[in-house]
Amino acid sequence: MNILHLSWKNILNKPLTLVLNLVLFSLGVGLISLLLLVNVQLEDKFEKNFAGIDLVIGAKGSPLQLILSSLYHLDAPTGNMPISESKAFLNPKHPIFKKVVPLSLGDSHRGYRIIGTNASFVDLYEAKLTEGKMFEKTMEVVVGATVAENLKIKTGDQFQSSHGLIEDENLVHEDAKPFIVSGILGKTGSVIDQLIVTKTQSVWAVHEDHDHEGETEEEHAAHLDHDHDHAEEEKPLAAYEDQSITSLLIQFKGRNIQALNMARNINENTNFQAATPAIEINRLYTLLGVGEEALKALAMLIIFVSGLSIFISLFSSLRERKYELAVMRTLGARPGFIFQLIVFEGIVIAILGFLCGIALSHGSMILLADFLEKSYRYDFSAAIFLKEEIYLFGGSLIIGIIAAIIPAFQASKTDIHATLADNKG
Amino acid sequence: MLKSINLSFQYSGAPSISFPDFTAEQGDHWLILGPSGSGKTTLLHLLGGLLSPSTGNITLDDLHYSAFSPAKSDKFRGENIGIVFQKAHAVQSLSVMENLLLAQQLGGKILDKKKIMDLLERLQIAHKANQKPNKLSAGEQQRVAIARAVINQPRLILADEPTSALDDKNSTEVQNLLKESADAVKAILLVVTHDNRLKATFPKQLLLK
Repeated sequence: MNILHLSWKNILNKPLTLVLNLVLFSLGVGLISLLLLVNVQLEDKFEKNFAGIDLVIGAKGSPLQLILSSLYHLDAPTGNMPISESKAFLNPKHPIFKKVVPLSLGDSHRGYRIIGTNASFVDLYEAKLTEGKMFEKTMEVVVGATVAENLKIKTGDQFQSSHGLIEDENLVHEDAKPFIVSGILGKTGSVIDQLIVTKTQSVWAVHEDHDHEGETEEEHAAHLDHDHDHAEEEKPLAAYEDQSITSLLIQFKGRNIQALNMARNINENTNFQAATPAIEINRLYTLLGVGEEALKALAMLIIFVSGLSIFISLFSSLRERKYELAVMRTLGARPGFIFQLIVFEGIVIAILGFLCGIALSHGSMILLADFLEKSYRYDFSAAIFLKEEIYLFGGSLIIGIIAAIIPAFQASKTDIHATLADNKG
Repeated sequence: MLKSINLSFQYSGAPSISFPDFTAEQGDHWLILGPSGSGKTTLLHLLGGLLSPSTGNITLDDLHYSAFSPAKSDKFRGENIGIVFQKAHAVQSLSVMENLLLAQQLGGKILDKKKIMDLLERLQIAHKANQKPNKLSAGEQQRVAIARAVINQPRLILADEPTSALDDKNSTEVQNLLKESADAVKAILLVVTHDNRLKATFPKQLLLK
């Protein structure tokens, strides 16, 4: 019959009060834990997806939208870049640009985006093939790890793409040649896991075929072969003057004044815009930050209220228990025993509340991850446990103790004689 | 032997209450009677070491326990004095058995479930051992209180109005059980009361005015 057993029994004896305290406490703890889980993963994804890109060039519009669509593959692209107007950027001997990766966006397969680009895109994310080989011919694709896992894709599989970024069976390019999976990439934890990557020419090929309406079967077939041949010639991108791409990912040769001025130069003097990932993402953080601060404040408030609730329930339980506590003193219990008893009750409630809160947050994370995957194709996990959750545990213990200290002190100081004398029944 | 000499107690702002000198031998059963306000409960609390006297001292087997520090007094009481109140005030969240285990622990004795069951059987409430106190009748609860007072084989058993809340039948049972239990451990039994039903069965009586 030790103090812990006794405090446990005392708490269980008032189940409704316990439930109230647990609901409040677990809400507060759960909210903070959930914020931590989301934040840690969000920051991680932002970091990993920078991929060393210094600048993104695309059609004029919102710079944040350009970054989100071309670097994070969220949101819709801002427009097109006709190659005829972009030749300066595509110069392989560009004085400032070390690496230029073209992107063609706009198609998808069952909700996963298809990126028309070249092999250097895959290098940006340090992705390695786990199966098959890199795409070489037009219509060959490599598939990111998450796509392969969720759609159960193997090397050699074929599929037709859909127009647009949302899964819609009415928009499948049924007349176009199918894509063929030439390889599967390993998991990187970056955005490439959820992408299907192919040559720029593949995306053009799919859209060209659509333009051939009103032709006979033979003429159409002849055309296809003709285009097919064209596509296999390794011409530099700049040669395709009547085509467009969506955006360019740029790595600078070095950080110098010219590089830094590049963005302003493009924005002021060309038909395109240039956005710096770091600047736009910081802006995004600032916007998100306000929401996050509000949620954190709410969580703190809830935890404060739950601490108050524990305090109140312990305090009022003293009134109900005053005779049995006095009698325990007559049996030989020291004031310290009574003090410890009440403090333990506070601690036990706090620990239970913490455990419920963690269960709540990880459970909610499972639902949230599912939603985020369906909406944005980003992979969030409920199964990570953070060291911050240990601090949260420590904090919970402290709150339990603080809530219990005054009632515990009060209980231990009770005058046995006065209590037992005043009540003859 | 219990001895009290020159005992008095003063509540702040009230006149001091004096108690007659008093001696009780081992095995004695005493009734302490008096009207309300005569200080019966104060005397019992002094004898139980729950209050420190303003003057005088109390000794049990020559141990001057009324002068003990609070810590020593708590310990002494747990090991040597059993108190029965008008209502049992058992710990509501524990079963009868657990309440008695707690009494053993607080009295510094070994936890002994068999000893507890034997006692509960003698008091005829063994069948309620695993029930919580609020499931017992008033008479049964008082028997738990008696069990709790005697489980640690105290030298002195004090009872404060133990029968005042009970009907005649239960009152008789509780009186008899108190006397039997005290005899079983050879303790001094002191019952403080204004319940006249007890006058007939306690030959040794002390009257307070």
